[in-house]
Amino acid sequence: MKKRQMIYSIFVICILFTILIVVFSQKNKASGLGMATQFLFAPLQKTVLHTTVSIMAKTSPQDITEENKMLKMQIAKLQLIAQDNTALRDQFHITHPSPHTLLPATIVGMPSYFPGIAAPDELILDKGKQDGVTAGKVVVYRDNFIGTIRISNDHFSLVTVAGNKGTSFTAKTTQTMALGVAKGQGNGQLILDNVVLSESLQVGDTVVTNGDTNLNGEGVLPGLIVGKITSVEKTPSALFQTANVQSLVNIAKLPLVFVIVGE
Amino acid sequence: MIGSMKYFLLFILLLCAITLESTIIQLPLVLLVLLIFTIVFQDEWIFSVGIFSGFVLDALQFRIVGSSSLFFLVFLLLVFLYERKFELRSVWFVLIMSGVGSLLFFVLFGSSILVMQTLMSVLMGLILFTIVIHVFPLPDKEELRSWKK
Repeated sequence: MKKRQMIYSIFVICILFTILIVVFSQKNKASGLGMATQFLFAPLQKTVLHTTVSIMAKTSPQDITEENKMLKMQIAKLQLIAQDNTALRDQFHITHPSPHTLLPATIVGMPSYFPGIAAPDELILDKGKQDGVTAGKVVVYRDNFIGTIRISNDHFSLVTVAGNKGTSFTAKTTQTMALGVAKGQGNGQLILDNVVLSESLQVGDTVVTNGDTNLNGEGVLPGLIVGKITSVEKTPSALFQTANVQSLVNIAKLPLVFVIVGE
Repeated sequence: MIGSMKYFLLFILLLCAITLESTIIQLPLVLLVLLIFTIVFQDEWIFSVGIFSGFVLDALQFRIVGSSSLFFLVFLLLVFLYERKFELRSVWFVLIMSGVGSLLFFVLFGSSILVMQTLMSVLMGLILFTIVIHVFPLPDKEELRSWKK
């Protein structure tokens, strides 16, 4: 009986202490301790993550040959597009996004990832407020929209990936210019929703961001690649049509990403 | 000797669990390690370990620091309370508590594929239990250090 009372006493003391810490944490009084912990574990996290990414990235020779062929075809198409873009940009003096606005950041954690089963919905980067990374900044990889910064402290940041359930932003297709709302469904899945029936959605069409920037230039920039349409759901009786969008980037295999921090 | 080995094994398992859970795997590995050590050793110090491992986990995952600790404390108290009703050091108890604990953890802190992840957690709990009782063979019932005494 005495022993049980001791257990309860220890439990009550521990609970009270923890509640105190939670209150301090909510008032941002414990951020220093959190950052110190992140600093301590960051090298170990990077090693584990990069080792896992390296193992997952191994493919068979046949896969590589097929992949090579596809890539060559894409390069040819891209070269044509690049020539057009160069001509247009020279004409209108537009650079997007300009190279000096991109800050490379290493991924140190994917807490919501499950290898082979679930795609990451969040990323932890080793750049923070001291590097100019604040909440709302956009994260990209080779013109592909990865996500936005949700929280950041002085040295680390948490990214909400485009496929996260709570994410939504305006997007459009490149071929038919159909406008809709890209919504994350969790587990790396995306849909292009709220597209009016009169618009045309085609399988294989590329979806890009439409742009949700504010007066300060913060927010999702236009023209960032979201993914490709894999299927279209169109019912004549419904108000809108929907398309499933697959990202062109396997976020789980990325060693680093880039944060658009501005000029 | 056994005492220091116990703490060393707990430290190594917790370090691996915290690193993996905060980096690459969405499973409640820290909860499972704490559960197994509570079941096998039934020592009160596991509460303090639960608090600090929860702090570290929350800091690494940008959660409110202390939220995981609160969950761990309540869950570990439940395990101690059940000692009076069930035989803790059994596979069935590990199975049930791993499943219930993981399910509650995923409901509170989010999950991608609830059923699959819960099943994986149960499997991981059983594997951990097997490893720990292999290193520390279970003593006879009379020699058990129980808080009922």
